Amino acid sequence: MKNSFYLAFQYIWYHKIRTLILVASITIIIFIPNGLEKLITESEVRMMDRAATTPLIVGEKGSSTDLVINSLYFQDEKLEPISMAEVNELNSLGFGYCIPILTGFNARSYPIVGTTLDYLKFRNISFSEGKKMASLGDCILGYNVAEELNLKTGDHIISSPESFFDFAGVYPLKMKITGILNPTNTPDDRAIFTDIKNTWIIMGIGHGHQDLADESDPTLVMDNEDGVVTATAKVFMYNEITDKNKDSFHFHGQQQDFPVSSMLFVPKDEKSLTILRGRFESGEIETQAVVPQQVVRNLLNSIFRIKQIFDGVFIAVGFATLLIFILIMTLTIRLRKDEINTLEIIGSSRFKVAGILSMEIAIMFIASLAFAFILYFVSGYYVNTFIEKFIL
Amino acid sequence: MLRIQNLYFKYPKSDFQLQIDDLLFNKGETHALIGPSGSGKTTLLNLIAGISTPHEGRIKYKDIEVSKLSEAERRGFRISRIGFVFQDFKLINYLNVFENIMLPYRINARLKIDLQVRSRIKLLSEYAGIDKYLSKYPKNLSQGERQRVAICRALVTQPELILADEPTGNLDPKNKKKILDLLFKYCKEEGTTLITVTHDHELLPDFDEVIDFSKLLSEDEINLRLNKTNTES
Amino acid sequence: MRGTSSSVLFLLIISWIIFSCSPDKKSNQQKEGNTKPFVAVVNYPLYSLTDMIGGDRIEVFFPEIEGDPAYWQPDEASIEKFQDADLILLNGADYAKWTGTVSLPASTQVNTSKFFSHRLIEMKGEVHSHGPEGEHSHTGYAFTTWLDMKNAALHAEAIKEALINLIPDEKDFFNVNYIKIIDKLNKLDSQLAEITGTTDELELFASHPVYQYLGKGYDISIISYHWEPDQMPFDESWKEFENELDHHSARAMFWEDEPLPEISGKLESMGVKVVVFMPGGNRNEFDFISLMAKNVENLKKGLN
Repeated sequence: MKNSFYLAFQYIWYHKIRTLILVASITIIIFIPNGLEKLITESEVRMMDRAATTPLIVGEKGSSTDLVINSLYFQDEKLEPISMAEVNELNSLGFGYCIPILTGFNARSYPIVGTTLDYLKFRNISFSEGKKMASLGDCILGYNVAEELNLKTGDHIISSPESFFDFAGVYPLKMKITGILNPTNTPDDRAIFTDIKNTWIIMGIGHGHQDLADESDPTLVMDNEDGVVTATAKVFMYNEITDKNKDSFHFHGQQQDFPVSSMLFVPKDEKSLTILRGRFESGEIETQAVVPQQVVRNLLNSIFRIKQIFDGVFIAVGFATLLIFILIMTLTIRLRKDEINTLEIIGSSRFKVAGILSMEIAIMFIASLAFAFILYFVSGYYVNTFIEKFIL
Repeated sequence: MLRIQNLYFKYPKSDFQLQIDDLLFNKGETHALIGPSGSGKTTLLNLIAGISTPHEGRIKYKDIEVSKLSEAERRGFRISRIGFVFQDFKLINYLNVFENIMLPYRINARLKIDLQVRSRIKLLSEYAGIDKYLSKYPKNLSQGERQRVAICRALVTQPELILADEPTGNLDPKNKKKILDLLFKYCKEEGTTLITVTHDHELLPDFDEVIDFSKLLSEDEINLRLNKTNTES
Repeated sequence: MRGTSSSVLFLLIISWIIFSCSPDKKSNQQKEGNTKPFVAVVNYPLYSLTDMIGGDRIEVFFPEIEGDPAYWQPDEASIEKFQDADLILLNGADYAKWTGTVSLPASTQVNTSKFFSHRLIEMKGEVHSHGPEGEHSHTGYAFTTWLDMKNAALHAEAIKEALINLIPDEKDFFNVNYIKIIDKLNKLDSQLAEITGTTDELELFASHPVYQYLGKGYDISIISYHWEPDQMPFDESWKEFENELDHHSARAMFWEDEPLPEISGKLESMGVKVVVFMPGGNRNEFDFISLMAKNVENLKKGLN
């Protein structure tokens, strides 16, 4: 056995490239259906898990899928915003509390999620370093954002001026990183969390600027009629919130009119949830409330249907690969007739020769299985990417 | 020693037939089999080695009647007593020189690989002048070097009988002489019998005996040689 | 064959390493121990009322603040305390603006003026414009809401409700305490109404514009200045005041604290009595009810 393995291995090693091509083909054929199965199953588990831990999402009427994807995965789906008034209204009903979410802004291509500290508590995310954001201008990073951008507590990150909202006053805001979250294996790892007030500042609803009453520089004021001060373009708008300029930051208008992409509703109990859903269904509350689990289930069902088609294709491709493999092996044995003959003349039995050839096939299959096995487990790392790229 | 009597062999679906009344090969002697192509020289080597079995007659080596052995026994007989040298060397291209020489040990469970074997391979390769090439693959060797490797492989099991089928057929004149000298030298030193099929008539004077298949031996000659063997032993 | 089995073993080890390194560590951040619910408040009236309603069932936190808590800027440690609180009681009416510039969990915040939000008094600020959003002003509300005892009672009700939500099992305990306070507040309210109701159009001066709710709640027309109790106003200010005195019937002035004797003397000489009516936004030696009782007493004296 040892000698058969040795000779088989020598043969395979000598024909490295051919072996590699064969092993790669078998690996792919073994891996793809299984890996896909794993990715889909794992994706299902993760998506359902995240959906199941989110009882209700409330947002403007429209696509329920977009609403869920935006709220759970912070994907760039353009959502019609609702207002803070709706958040306050829902809070005032006493069925539970709302966690507002405002998305649509990015920093270095990672989504900025404006929310409240309740989000972290609700998702049960702990800190790997640093602490919660304390003041305006602070933010905390998901584990992967910090890893990939090599950022740590105390560093800064600047929001990109582009957004999905058509606001003219979107300014880049330099935010201070106060903490890095622990990994959660969810989209939270790839998000930048900040106080929703900060997102409003990024949006231009709130801002900080030089004191217009500063009499030392009269050029700041273009006009001052009946207490209506018109400022000149010289007024310096702050793009970073510091202890020094913190007090100059203010919001225009009533907070209840400020936008929110969606809100996660955390009910007091099952009964409250049922009553609240009833109110949504009866049209008493005008916004839309969706149960993420149902939406994700529908989304996954369509994925499963596609997967069934793929399964059929893989069976056919697998069978074709097997036939090609048999053909290659048959041709190889024919080409090696002289060698086999020599072995037999020198004193090898046919059984031994068959053993060596089988060992070659076995090594290739075991190697393919091993590679497929590694790929299978490594693919687990890409579940979130898979979800983002292929499911959402 | 090796005696062939009343042998008759015929390939199926072919007109070729080999008939030998009586043929004797003495121990430690070098024999050349000559004759035109298709006269049965290689067939005789196959019959002696037990690769083919005769339809009639017997092949007796010492006390063993080769033609009556089972296939497994014939294989055992081959591996333990016979070394083969072929015209086209029949080296395994994916094994290096050392492993090619070791091959008989890799393919037969009766032969155990131990330190002795390894040192013997080293000695043999030095003997054949190929010790520098042990880690090389056959494709990187010259024809002459390849045949030396093949000879080492034939000798590694310390055979009593070497069957060489045109061992110099693919070699230039200089190498022909060298290869044959190597075989002769070894056979003389170790008392090994050599039976060589050859077409190279210029080499014939070096053999102890030349058997011409075109005029197969007469009964008288056989008896004469038998007596000679008896007297010697 | 040994080679094959060792390769399989190798692969198993590799996959185990990959597995054990996978970022799947979920940690639970749970509150340690079984300590009392922690309630953080933004001013002393709320501290006092909460303490009276919550009793020993809760721990109330009101930071040590120098100056007016309405304009306080918290340090990081205080922010963390507020962030970790089980309940944050806000005054409402834009009081403690810092709560709008720090990150606090929304679910633990309760606006204790929510029951009278429609009665808040708006204050106009400077209107200005810059940038694309056009003209705007930074408006706000008068925030010493508790000086109207009816408001104080509604603050107390909001506090009681929030505490019941926090510890439903202590509902009865909180209710009993709440009723005791309401009784006292109602009494103070009646007293204030009685004292201020004697005159049809009661007018009073105030050293600072902080008595809006007192004025609105008890029908007092208040003329406010920006005078500090420990600082003698300039002569110009006195002249202005003398002029005003001719146009108003007011003959008493509210002070947040006892003014300098020379201020009191000068006012007395002008026929204006000093009424110390402490808003008590920051920590002081009295509880809220006692302080208000003392204020009512002072007012009574001042108006007689």
